[in-house]
Amino acid sequence: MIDVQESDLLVVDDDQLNQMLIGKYLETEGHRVSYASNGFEALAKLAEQSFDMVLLDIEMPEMNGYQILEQMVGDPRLRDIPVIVTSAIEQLDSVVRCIEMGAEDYLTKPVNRILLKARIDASLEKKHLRDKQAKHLRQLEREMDIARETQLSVLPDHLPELKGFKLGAKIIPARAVGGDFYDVIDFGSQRWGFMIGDVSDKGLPAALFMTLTYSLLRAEASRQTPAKQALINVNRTLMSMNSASMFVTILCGMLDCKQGTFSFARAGHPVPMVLSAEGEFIKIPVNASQAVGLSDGIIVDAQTIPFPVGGLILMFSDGLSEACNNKDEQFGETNLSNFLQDHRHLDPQEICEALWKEVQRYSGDQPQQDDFTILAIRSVFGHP
Amino acid sequence: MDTLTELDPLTFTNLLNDLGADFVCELVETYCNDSRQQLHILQTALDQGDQTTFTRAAHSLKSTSLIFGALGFANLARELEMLGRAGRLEEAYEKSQQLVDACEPLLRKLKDLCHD
Repeated sequence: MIDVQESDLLVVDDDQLNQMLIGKYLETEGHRVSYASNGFEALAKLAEQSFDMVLLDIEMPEMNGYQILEQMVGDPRLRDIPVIVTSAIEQLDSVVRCIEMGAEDYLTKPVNRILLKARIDASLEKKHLRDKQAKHLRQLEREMDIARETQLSVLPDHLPELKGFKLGAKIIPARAVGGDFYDVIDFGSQRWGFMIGDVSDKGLPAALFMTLTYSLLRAEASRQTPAKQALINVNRTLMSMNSASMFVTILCGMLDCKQGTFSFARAGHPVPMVLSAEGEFIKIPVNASQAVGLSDGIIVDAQTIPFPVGGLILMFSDGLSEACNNKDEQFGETNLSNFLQDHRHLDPQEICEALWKEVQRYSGDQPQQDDFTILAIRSVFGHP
Repeated sequence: MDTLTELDPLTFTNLLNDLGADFVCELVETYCNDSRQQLHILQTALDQGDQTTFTRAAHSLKSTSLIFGALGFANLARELEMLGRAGRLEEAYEKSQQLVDACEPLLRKLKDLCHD
């Protein structure tokens, strides 16, 4: 039970007798009571002092209780203060009007001491719980902001410039923090590693799992472990510490700028889309593969393809292909293919930005359900 | 007239129990001053055909009289309030006079209760 005594209450009534009576009842219950005799005085007091509750008369000259209630509800600083209307107007429509306008409760005058105490205690208890909830929410939001900044700080703040290739990337978490990630790593000798991942969940648990997976992959990359072996190693480690049964789909790619090849190892992640300079899609075989974190014996799909001269490779998370519209239809790979063909001449970063806008347009009023991540590589001139 | 000056004994006893005799007598004193003033406002408003002021004064008399259990007096004030809200002030003269006539005897009763 929350202690609701010693609250600051404002009694708004133009009648001195009612002020005295209600005030005495409230003071007897241990509350601190202030008084206002009209609407203007009430709003002035509310502006200068913090109150836990307002007891409001309706029938007052100049500014009546309805008008005060309207102003309070319209003011973000005042709208959370509970208002109990105390009025001798017994008509039901008056009660309904006050409740509809946002009053917490309604008491007819002369107020009964027992009823007054019960209603005030109940309203104050609710307010204390709301205040506590709001405080926790603010604290959680602060922590989430820090988590978001921390998470974003591990992602590349800019994309490197590659000889003969241009890059583009975009990541939009569905919540404050997300489970998607991507990175571009310099392996030396004009070889560049790419990774894109998607944790099975969203929000804070996914973000923590994402950070763990990302760190393990970075550790493998620093040892120059080949992509397929890196995924097997990461899977082994995650299986030993995955009490939440989360999993992550990953695509690790290696672009060899000198050779003009793109090798990749895929663990349950969508196959990259490969588009020639002429706008033809190059079919990539979809071999069996499993997400990391599901079982000890992981199956990884590893392939090497020639990078089409002047072509484009797009890696993406399912937040792109599975974005839904108002009819619950997925954006799908057909829409994605058509979009890429129509926009293939754009700069890779422009493609990423335009694709995000297109998915937003397609989704309409539907909230973003999943993290959205894309990573695009374009060959800008002939490579060996 | 008797009905108009009657007081509900239970209401007054409850007030004494809840608030103590000293504070109730203070309330009575305030009520006496206030109701005389409101009656004066009511009559003036009636003479001037000021519907809003008349209604508010009747409303105030109703509200404060109920505190002490002056049910008959409060009911008559309520009837005047309704007439005021309906804009039928011409029908309010007789009832207003009844209220004026009952006021002082009612206040005397209240003061006597305080001194008991």
